[in-house]
Amino acid sequence: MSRLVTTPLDSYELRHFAVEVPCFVCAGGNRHDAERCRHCYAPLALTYQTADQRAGKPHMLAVLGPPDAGKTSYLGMLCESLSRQCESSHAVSRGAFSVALQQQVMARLAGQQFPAPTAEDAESWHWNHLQIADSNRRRVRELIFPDMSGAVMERELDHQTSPSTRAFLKKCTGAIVLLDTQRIERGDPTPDFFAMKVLSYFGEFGTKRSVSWLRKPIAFVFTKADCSQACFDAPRRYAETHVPGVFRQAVSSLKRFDFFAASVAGATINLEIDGAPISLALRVEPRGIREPMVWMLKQLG
Amino acid sequence: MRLLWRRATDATAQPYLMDGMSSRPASTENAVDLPNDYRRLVDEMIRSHRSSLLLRPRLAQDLEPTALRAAIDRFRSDACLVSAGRVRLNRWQVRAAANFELIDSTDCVEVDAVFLERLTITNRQFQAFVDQGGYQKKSLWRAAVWSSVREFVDRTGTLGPRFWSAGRHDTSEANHPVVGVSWFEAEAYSRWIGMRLPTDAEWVRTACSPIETDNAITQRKYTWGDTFLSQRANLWNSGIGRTIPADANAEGDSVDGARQMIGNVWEWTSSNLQLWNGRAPIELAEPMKSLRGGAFDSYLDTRATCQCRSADNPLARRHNIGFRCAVSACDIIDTSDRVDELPAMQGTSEGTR
Repeated sequence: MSRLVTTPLDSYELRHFAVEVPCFVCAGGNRHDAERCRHCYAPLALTYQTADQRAGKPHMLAVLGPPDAGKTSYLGMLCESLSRQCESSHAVSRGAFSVALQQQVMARLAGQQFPAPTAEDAESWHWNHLQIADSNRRRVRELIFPDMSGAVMERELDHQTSPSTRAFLKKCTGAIVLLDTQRIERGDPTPDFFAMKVLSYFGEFGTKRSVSWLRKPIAFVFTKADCSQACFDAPRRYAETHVPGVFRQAVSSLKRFDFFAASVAGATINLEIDGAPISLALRVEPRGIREPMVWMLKQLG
Repeated sequence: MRLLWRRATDATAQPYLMDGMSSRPASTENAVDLPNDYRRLVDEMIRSHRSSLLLRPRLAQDLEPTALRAAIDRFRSDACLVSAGRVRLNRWQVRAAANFELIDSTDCVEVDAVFLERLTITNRQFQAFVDQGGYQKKSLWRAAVWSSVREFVDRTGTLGPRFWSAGRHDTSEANHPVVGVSWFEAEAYSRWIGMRLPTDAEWVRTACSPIETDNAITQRKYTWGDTFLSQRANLWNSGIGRTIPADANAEGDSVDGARQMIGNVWEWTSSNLQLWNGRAPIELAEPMKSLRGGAFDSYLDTRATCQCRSADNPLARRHNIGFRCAVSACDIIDTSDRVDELPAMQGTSEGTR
């Protein structure tokens, strides 16, 4: 004999599926249980974290450079430097995903290796969400920046095929453009041209205050500067003579910019073993890692 | 005394001695024959950190007993004796699959008895080399690099370490290790004081003081033991962020009494960097010289142990690379027992340390 049972329909549980969660980075809609945005692949944790934070709206920062410019090493060491030291400012990672990059880079450096190139697949990029407090903890600022693939950025500059990358760059409030000093010293003009392309790309965003890069701060950082003491001594003068294209473009079109020199390794050796190129970090001696970020935070107010 | 200067014209001794006597050329015709001049010269050589030179057998046998005593006293306070024995050295093994790793080699290296300076060379000591024309003295330099010596200039374009100005060091850092010197400058200085740069094996043996038991060798990770202690070595983790005086951190001394083997500045050694692919040595595009010890800005203390090493181009003049000198025990007279039998020299300076 059958028995009639009344089962309540928990329809309120379905409302999550009806309401889309907008990605903090690209504003694209997502299911509530998604881990990454289906449009730009940024972690949706960023959206939830920024929704309940007290420190004000986070600044998004673009860290750009051609492939093998040292973005991952620089960013990993920057996170390490900001989280381990308590001089002028101290950073706390928001979310475990923000520690992953730092962990990966430090593990590789401990074995005298540099991190592997960042995959072009945006889903595997590391995103960092840092809460940075100044020394007396009176002021707390939040920064979000991804470790983007140089190859993807290069393609975007040339062909402009990625709306999500474009959307992200439009939302950024500042940028760090990396210039590979080793390549510059070899006479390779790629870093100069890449940075010039970035500035031209930014110039196409228009003059509307929210998107215009005229007034947004841009830090040009010479990475791997351990190979040139002249670069460390006077980065601006070095830029004037070694990357004249981007230097002139910056002087003529930007309001807030500066040049910095940084290195993670004290010395590097490049080998070719059985046809495979290998770079070894002969020692880990971070120099000039924090300065661009300190300058950037000052510019962001 | 006259004999001393006659021997000074000997081909092996001349490169060293001529500089110490720049105001009075070393030749038999102009031989120094006044006791005061003699004493002043010996005193000057001892003050210039060149006592090792006076203890070369051919020179020491002609020294007056008081001068010999002063030279031995000074040398024994400056250098520590590291006995002959074996040491285990790591080798850098690079695998083809882009997998780099440091392999603990079980190869042991025999090291002869050697005197290694207790401290790294300081700015004040190097100043004497600059002031006495070390950069102009061709015999101190390798022939291959002699034409490039004019490029070894300071911030103002004067010959000297890279971070000096107008050929002078910063007086507030007189006791700090000299930095901004290439491997060739370190070698020339060592030759000037009658010493040389230590080999990798000599350096490691001094730092980790191996103990041999049952045909096995036990080596310390750091000069004081196996655990890093930030108050004993000036690395990044110590939080100082710059060089400190060369005689600081006495707690970190090696068993034989060498100070700051770990931290403060990297130290040039005479050995070349060698990497291996399996059993085959890898040919490097440019030669690199081995560095030991770690520096004030070495981030990972696990990469600044007695066994770890770095390397750099011998022409590199870095802000964190200095050196200390060594001399084989067999190259100088036996200083162990003789000193007590010798009379003390009156008025000998304490030196330039």
